[in-house]
Amino acid sequence: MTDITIDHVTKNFAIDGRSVTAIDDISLKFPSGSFSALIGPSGCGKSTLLRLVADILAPSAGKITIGGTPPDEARRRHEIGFVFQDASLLPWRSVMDNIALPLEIAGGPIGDGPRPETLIRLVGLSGFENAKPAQLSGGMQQRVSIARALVLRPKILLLDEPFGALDEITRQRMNMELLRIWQETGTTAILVTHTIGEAVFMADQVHVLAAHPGRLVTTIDVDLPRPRALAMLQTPAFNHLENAVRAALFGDELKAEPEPAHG
Amino acid sequence: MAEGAALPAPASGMSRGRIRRAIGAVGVPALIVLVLVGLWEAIKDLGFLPITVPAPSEIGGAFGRSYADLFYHMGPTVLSALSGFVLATLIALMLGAIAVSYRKSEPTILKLGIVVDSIPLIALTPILMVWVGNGLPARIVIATIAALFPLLVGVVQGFKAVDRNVSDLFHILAASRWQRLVKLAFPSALPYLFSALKIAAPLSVLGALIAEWVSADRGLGIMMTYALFSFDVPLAWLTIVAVCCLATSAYGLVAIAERIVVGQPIDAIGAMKGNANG
Repeated sequence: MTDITIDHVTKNFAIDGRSVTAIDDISLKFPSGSFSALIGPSGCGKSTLLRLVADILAPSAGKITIGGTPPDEARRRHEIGFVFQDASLLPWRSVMDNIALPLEIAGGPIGDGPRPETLIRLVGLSGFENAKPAQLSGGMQQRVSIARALVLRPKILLLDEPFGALDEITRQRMNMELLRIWQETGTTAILVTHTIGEAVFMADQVHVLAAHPGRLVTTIDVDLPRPRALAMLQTPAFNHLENAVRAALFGDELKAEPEPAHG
Repeated sequence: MAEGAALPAPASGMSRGRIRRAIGAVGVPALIVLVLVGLWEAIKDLGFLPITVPAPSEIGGAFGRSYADLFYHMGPTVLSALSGFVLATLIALMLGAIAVSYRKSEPTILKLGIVVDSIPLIALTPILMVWVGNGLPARIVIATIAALFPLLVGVVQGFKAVDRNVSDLFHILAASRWQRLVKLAFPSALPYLFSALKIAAPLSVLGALIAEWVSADRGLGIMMTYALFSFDVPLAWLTIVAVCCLATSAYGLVAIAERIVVGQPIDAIGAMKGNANG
């Protein structure tokens, strides 16, 4: 069971000698095998939160556990997969060698981890094994990056706006792919996004954050059935959930009457 | 799955445009040099140049007279320069690796590099020869010092030119320092390293030359000194031209190596280890 618990976590950064609070006392639970979304305006600390879980940063106060153990132990056991906003591939390596990089570093597959060839098929890049990242489109690069994140069969998958740089149509396709892969692999996934529709479409739970300092506003449970289908985007239930997230993001601003135009 | 791949069509041999460009790249500079040499010859013939500047034909004559001497003396210079160059590269890689692996040591290492670089070699050489003798080792040390600093700066800068996200990725993967160095820092540094190597290669030739001025029984430096002391102006100029040719070839060889290692679609690390990631 690999649930993730964030227990009263605060993160301060020192900027120009001043202490700035990026995350203020956030507590969250991500159940094992669930798909959660973190949404909020820039400055709400959603990416920081993801980096705290990945043990890239350490919390100033509070505790994070992954399957009951601290993040650095989970990291050393290669239980964490991370997908960055840009694909962050090694430009001198081929698609195959980029995906195999974690295997080289870990010294071989973890348990019955998937083979790179299998993953290339899973993310739909068959035939591009020997291509260099520069020869691929942005969407294809991000597929490589997802395959790389899965090659050690991580227990948790952290996604930091993975498709933020892609166009709407490609992004929707990639999201469908990602959900399919997530269901096949059974990892606990956390997706950072700033798109309301994406958060609702992907997640079991949407955690809405507010900025300055970053704090939790509310959590919205998404009770749409799985597997999710594009047709759901047009249902009243989906719109209702989107509106709930929008209300949590904008609060009283939504209720205010538009100012009458002058002149 | 419907995204279009951005795979470019493979280049199909030498097209006519590429041949024309190659002629432009080689032919035009060659023509300019030819015109300048002709102009130099004409001005000398008209008597406008001092006795210390020979005509190109006189330098050519000196080559005809003494080419056997020239190649006899070129060997040791090449040996000192090449050894110094290789040694400087290894030292720079080692110091650079330390500087980026232990961030606190970086300012110290770079300052040390500046100090070593600012030592006047012409003054250091005699002192060094008192310490290590006036043989090949001393000349290699001087060539090494001459080439070291640009390499050190290039290596440190290159090792630091690692993408932040990729660096985080290596952290998440719990990569060791060695894995980080070999799989990430070194390949990222290669373009910077080659820029530094191109600067350092001619410098190591000049370093070897300075060492030979002070003391050597064979080498272009000592040949140059002899020519100067015996007022053989064309011969002195011949050695200058030879040194220029050496330094330029050193640069050119590094540039070719760069094209092969960085420009070619191969895994830099795989190439270094001699296997293509099997």
